[in-house]
Amino acid sequence: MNALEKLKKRFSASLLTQGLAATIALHTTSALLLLSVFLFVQGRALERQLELRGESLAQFLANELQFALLVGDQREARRLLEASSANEDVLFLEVLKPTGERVCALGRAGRMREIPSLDRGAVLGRPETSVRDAGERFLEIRVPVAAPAREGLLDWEPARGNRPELGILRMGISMQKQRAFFRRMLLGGVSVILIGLAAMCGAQYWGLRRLLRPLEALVRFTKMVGAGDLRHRAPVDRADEVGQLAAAFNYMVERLGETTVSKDYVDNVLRSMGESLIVTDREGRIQRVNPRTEELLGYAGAELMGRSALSLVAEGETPPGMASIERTYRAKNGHLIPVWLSSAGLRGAAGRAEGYVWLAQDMRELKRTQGELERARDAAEQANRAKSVFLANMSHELRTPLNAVIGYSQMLREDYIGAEQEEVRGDLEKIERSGQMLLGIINDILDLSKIEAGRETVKAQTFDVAAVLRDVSNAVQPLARQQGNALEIDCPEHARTAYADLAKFRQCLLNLVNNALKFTEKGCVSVSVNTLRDGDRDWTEVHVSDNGIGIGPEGLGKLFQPFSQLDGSATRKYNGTGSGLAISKKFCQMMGGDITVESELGRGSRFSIRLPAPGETVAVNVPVAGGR
Amino acid sequence: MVSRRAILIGLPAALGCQGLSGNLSGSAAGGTKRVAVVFPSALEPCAQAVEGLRSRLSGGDVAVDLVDVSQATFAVDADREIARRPAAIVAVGSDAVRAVLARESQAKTISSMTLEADRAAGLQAGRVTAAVYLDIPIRTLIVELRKVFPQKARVGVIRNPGRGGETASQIRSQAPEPALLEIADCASADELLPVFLAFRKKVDFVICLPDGSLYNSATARPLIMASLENRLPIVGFSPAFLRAGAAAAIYPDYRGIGQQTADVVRRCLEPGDCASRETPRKVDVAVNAKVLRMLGIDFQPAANPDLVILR
Repeated sequence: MNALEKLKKRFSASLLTQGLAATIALHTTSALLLLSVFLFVQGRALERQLELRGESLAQFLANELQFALLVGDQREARRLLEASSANEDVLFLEVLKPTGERVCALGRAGRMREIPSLDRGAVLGRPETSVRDAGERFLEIRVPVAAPAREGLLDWEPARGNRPELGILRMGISMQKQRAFFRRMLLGGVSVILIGLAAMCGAQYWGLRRLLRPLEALVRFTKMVGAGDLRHRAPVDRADEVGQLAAAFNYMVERLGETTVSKDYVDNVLRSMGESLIVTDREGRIQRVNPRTEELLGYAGAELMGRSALSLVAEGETPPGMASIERTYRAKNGHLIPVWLSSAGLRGAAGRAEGYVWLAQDMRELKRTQGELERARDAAEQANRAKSVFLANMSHELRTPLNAVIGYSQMLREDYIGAEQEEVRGDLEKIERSGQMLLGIINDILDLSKIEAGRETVKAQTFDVAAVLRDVSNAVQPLARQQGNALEIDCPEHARTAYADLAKFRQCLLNLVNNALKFTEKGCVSVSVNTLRDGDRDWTEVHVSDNGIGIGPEGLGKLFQPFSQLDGSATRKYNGTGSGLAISKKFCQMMGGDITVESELGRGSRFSIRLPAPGETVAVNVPVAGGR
Repeated sequence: MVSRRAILIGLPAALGCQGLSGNLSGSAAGGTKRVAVVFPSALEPCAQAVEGLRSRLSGGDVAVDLVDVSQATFAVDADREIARRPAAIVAVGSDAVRAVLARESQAKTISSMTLEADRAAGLQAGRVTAAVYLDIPIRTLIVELRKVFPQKARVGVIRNPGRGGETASQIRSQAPEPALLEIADCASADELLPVFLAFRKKVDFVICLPDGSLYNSATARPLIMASLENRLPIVGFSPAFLRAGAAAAIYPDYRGIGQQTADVVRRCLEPGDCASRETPRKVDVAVNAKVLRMLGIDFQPAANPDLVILR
């Protein structure tokens, strides 16, 4: 860049310089123009003034010369010329005859000894004024000297024309003074212009500085705002347009602060993000990343700028598109990082697509935890299956000797019937009762184990519900009498047939009726059967209702859990392991149905068995591992 | 002093004349006689004379038609007026006399405001019936001068022999005291200054008789300068001469000339011979107080109540 270009650049960069230059150019041009016009007019005026003065002097002298020329008095003519030459501007005087011969002449000593000859083409009989140069510029005035008119003093006679010409007077008037005056005027004018220009430039500089200072402050402020700092405000210390501009700018910044977020704020958000954020342009080149991305991938931010975002995705994986999907990032060290990648289009204020935003969540920890959980689950399932097999096996092994114990104790008690050893018989009854209880527990455990081990099977068949109800009723009559309860059974004709596993149905029903009688004293237990259509299926429902002690809300939550009789006291009072309902529910579910309960503490309970009606496909809800 | 415009506009109405649109014969309706007055309105003295002429003719049976020599349409106007056969034609000023004499007319012609010397030059030969001249007799001049300057008795007169007119002896004979009168001839302007200077210490005043060839704006100045340098006062013949530097001037009363001409016209309108050559009956005397002061000459303002003093 050469000096001229540097100067141009500097000139165009400064409003102050431009303003001053424009002012100087404008005022200089105007002043020079005015000065030129003034000098031209003044020069012409001076020249004309000189001409008039010279012509007046020449005319006066010509009039004076009339008589001398009339009478041929050369001495008088010379005397008149000498008298006129007292004027220092007169360079020379010459009197010629009409024929051009010199009568007399006078030149100013030291300035114009030689009287310039007549100009070529000069017409002698006509007054003429011209500017000539003979070493010095001068004004030559030529005036004819005419004979006096006859009249003039005769008031009653008109003036006569054609006065005879007596001679010609030539007069040279120096233009030196005029030129000197012109030079002084030019010098003075230029001086005044320079002084005025300097004063004007000073004033302009002061004015522009005063005007531009707030603008410079505004520029600094704008840069701060541009850098995202919206906290500051431009100083508004003037009421003119600049002040209004600053106020408008402050208003804009305030509005900006209200409607947008600052860069700091955005940076803070990006820095605080736990996810990796990559912003690309429309071609997929990375424009911005957050610190988490740098940390995740091991790249510095500058290394990622401009790079294709797709290069970060592991080979063989397609771009995420506009969706959330699992992908793998390849870090700088080559490690593969599973991420949950969400991609979205980035749109500008006008709604125009400007690029993409990738938001990636590191899934390494999640994957690790997930693996551990799966392993733990598999181990637990394996252990549970082992436990169930063990329990099933163990229950079987336990039941066999227990049956022997119970059988022998019964045999002994029968042997002692009628005997007098009442004490021995009472002990035998205790042994038998404990054995029975233990057998019940073992049976329950056996059933649950079989269910959990997947060994329990469903053998569906059509059977007479009323017959089942009758068997159950017979079985529980002793308990009903013992508890002082009334047992009511209602089985209408249309609901007499059911399709299920008869043994399991009977066990479920017996369990429910037994429970109802057990937890009701001197009340009523009713069993009713009906059919209904729910959704697109037909169902057989058996309701077992009582007005016994009922169940509270807490009890309802764990009612169907194995070995969960409400409390220890209940176990002691009502006997049982508390696994009957759990087993019954499992059985019903295996048969494609379920057991539900409605109960209120102190008001009684209502248990409902729902099973698919005959003709409906049995859907077994509890997966059966397999049977024997 | 009445302006020329006022004269031209006011006189016809004052005199009740019918202007140029009158009868074709010399006598207007009701016995009114038509008189054509030819004059140069541009010259103030002539205009004053016409004013006097018309004032004197007004109220009678004379209708005055004015024809202005100064107008561009003069030739047409003059021919038309002559064609109307006026009873008399009055030519005021030498140009008017020349113009009238250049045209054929049977009317009596009266010239006015001319010098007698012009007659000698042939200006008024032939048809001029009567004339009222501007020439003031030398006796009148001396008498009027003595009234104002009683102590100055010696008078010199410059006479142009080429102009004709009165001879030196005729002039001398008119003087009240011929012994106190010096007469010098001057035939051209070249001789004027020497002739004038020849009067030094001989006379108290030098009277310059009206002569355009000797006295004009060019010759007046050196003459006046010589007058002042040699303390030889000049008596001029016009107000212009007085203004140029003459110590005093004696000139005809122009309005009076007009009235005098009117009297001649009336006589000419009557049957019979009216030929006459008259000089001014009334003259004006004027002094240049400044020049007189420079010359150290006192004057008697009370001697002439009509004395005009230029200060």
